[in-house]
Amino acid sequence: MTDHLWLHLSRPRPTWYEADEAARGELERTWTDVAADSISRGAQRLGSWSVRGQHDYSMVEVWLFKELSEIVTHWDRLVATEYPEWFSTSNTLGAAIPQSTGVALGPGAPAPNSSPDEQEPSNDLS
Amino acid sequence: MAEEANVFEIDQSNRCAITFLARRTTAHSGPSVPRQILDVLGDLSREGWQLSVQDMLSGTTTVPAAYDTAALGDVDVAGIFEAPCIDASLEGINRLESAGWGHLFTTEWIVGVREFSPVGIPNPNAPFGFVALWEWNDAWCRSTTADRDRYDAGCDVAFDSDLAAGICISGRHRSDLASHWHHFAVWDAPSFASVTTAMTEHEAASDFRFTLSRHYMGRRMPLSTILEVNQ
Repeated sequence: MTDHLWLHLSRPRPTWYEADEAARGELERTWTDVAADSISRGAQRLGSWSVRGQHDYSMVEVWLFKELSEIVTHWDRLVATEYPEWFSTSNTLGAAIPQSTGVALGPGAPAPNSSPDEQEPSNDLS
Repeated sequence: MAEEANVFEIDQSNRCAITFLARRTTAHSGPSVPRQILDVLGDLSREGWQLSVQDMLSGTTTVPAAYDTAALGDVDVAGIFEAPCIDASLEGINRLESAGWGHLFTTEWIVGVREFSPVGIPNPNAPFGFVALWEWNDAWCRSTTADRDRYDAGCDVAFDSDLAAGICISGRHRSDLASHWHHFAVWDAPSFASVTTAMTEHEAASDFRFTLSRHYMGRRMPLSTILEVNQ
């Protein structure tokens, strides 16, 4: 597994709250296009979740990219659309853990070589 | 995000710096750990890394250096390295942690692709260091192009004054890909007073009007000294 994890945390800035519906729609279409292009080049967007109430940010997106350079390209394109002027962000890069160590694997964690599509979600909170 | 200021030149080398903010642990490490870390740093240097602001300025390889910040802030050690590219930067962090860095320190490593070239007159004996991280605030996001031009011009006056005071600046590194901080920069300075005077001048130039900033200051010393103190 050579994928790189990219966690993207965001919360709206005042500029976003003050934008009208039409302006928001146009911006969201632009960002959706950026995401679609990254996905077409091999990235996986695993999903997005609300974390408001338990974090400084309000939303987290989870992505996998084959190459770090693809993450740079993805982010550069969002920056070019002035996305960070509408949302405050905090991003994190994650490198795959080498299979030989496996120290971080616990119950319910994916095997290092499995793809996200093959993983069964774990509901075991015990 | 990379509007060029008069003081700085855009650098498109794609080199990737890492600033590190480290807190000492109380774990017992073997006496060989500092040597193992220095050996990895030696390997990284041979692979094209630069391990101090001075090396970035001069393009040479000298003694790896960092800053003892324990007396002046909430981290014990801060500093900057620079890898040839972002992939190498992440791999190098892993090699350093694996060599025992992780036994000695709990560390926040922040990677930043180079935007501006280093600037200043090399001063290998600079006794002081300064690490600055900042992100654009909501006021900056509301500002006009004219506002930003005036802001940049004011900051340039302050940066000119910094350089005239003998401060060396690592350049500017863009870190928003993997942090909430948008940028960082690291200075070598001739004295504590030169940094505090510079901050007064940056405040007068309204530098902090448009940013949330965090700063660390400390005594500059060879990394070998910092590592061996830990034993």
